[in-house]
Amino acid sequence: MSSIHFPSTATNYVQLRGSDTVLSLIQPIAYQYMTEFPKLALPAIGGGTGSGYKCVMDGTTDIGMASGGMNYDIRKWAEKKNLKFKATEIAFDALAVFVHPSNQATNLSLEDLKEIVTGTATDWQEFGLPPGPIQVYSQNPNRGSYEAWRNIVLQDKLSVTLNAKVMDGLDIVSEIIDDPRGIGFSSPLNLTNQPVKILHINDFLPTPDNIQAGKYPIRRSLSLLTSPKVKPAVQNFIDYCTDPKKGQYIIKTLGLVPAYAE
Amino acid sequence: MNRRRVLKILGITGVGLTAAGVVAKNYWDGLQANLRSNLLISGSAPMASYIKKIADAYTLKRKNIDIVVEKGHSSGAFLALNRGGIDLAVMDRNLNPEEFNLIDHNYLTGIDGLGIVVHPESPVTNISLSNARKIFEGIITNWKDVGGPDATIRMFGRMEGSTTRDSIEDILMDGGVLSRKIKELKSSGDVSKAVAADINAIGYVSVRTMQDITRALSINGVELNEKNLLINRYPLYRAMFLVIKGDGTDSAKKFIDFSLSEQGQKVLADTGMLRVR
Repeated sequence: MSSIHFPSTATNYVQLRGSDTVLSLIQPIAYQYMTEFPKLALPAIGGGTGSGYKCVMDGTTDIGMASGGMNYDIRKWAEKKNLKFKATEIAFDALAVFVHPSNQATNLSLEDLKEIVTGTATDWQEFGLPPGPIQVYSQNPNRGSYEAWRNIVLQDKLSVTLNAKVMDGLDIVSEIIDDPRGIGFSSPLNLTNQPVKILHINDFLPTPDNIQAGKYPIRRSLSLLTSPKVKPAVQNFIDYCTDPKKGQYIIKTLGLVPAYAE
Repeated sequence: MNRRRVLKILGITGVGLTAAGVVAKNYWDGLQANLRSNLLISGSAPMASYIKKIADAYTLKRKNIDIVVEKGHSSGAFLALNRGGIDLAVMDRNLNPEEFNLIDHNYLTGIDGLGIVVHPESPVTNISLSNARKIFEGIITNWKDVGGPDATIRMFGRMEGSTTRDSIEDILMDGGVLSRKIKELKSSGDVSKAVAADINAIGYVSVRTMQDITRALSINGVELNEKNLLINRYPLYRAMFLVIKGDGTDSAKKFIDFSLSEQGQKVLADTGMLRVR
């Protein structure tokens, strides 16, 4: 009998940290990369887009993962410390807006949505639906998805309604499964095979074609972040991610929209 | 700042581990002597045993540093660090959104995993995380409910005080209570032997002590292998983070550099943890 210490073949390590959404599409790419290039190990972990920006700029990771832009605090911190990074877009992701399957809503305009999430509209009957109070679910402002949500949906409004329940995207899904009054948003990646109803926004569903064409309005960039001077091992992996036949192909099979067309 | 007092307030008291023969009171003696530097580390109990190994290697050639490692919890250590009570926090998880801040530096240092093991000839090869939990809770008691034959599941685990058992309670049980029907054994080796001798057995072991006389189940369709642990896809997973406040004290920063160096990472790999540098 012998113990199964994993016999690592790696001699070089490139760490990735940040957005959980980007992590879920980096996982199959990194797995394939380590299979093709067994001398490189790619430890990868989530923690949110905020940590992706923070860790690449403070030098605690080689590659940061970001879904959406920097929030105000991180932007100010980076400006003050004169910290720089380089971003490479690898995919587009949409934020899907969803409700309980019993909800009769099918389409909302971006304006309707803004009224709901900022608390201007508080009852479903304001949209010609059976009456009932609206419960808004929102994500933690440290998450990359919130930044995209703020820019595209909230616009000039500072925050979501104070009555919103704030939690992670995956938790919003499980809450709304049990809440007929609820409305929330999440990456479509979290919604596969989940019993929730995804709404049309401005008449379009968040399908890959609609996202790529920019018809579906709530869209964000998924990016890899590095220091401005990139180490060769890091650059090789980023090149693999942007290669239409390699990383970009894997991203397409995941139902996301690759940043580089074939 | 009375650091001992801060730790007391936070409920982190007992000195768990020491390195290079240093005991707690010598730590304070060390403060008096200008020539000696000192490093107070606190954090996750399961991770503290790894840190002790690194500290032993570190102090081997550096006789004028006193390192104290205290066993506690990730959350308490994080608070102690940010109140100036300790130099370095060892966490067994990433910072959560409430803890995330722009001051601390937080280094991924190693990765550890847990295996759910069965007899090598068991027809079951995969299990969902929730079914694995239900088995060890005693809710699912027959293999036929998880795609196996009609046979009673016999469970093997570790006695109270085992860090592997603590980790299973944290990562797998999610608030659920371990069934009293789990036969509690002294060592990981005993769990492996018991499972290898019984076609209807199931047990839990840490990756570092897993033996090839048993077979690890895939969880949620994800095979237990090095790559799936590295990319955080295999669910029974635990990562070690070393956290310092700002740029950290000189001794804390040097200790982190050592932990991430070839030598420090080799110490981790020798204990069965996965290297990340």
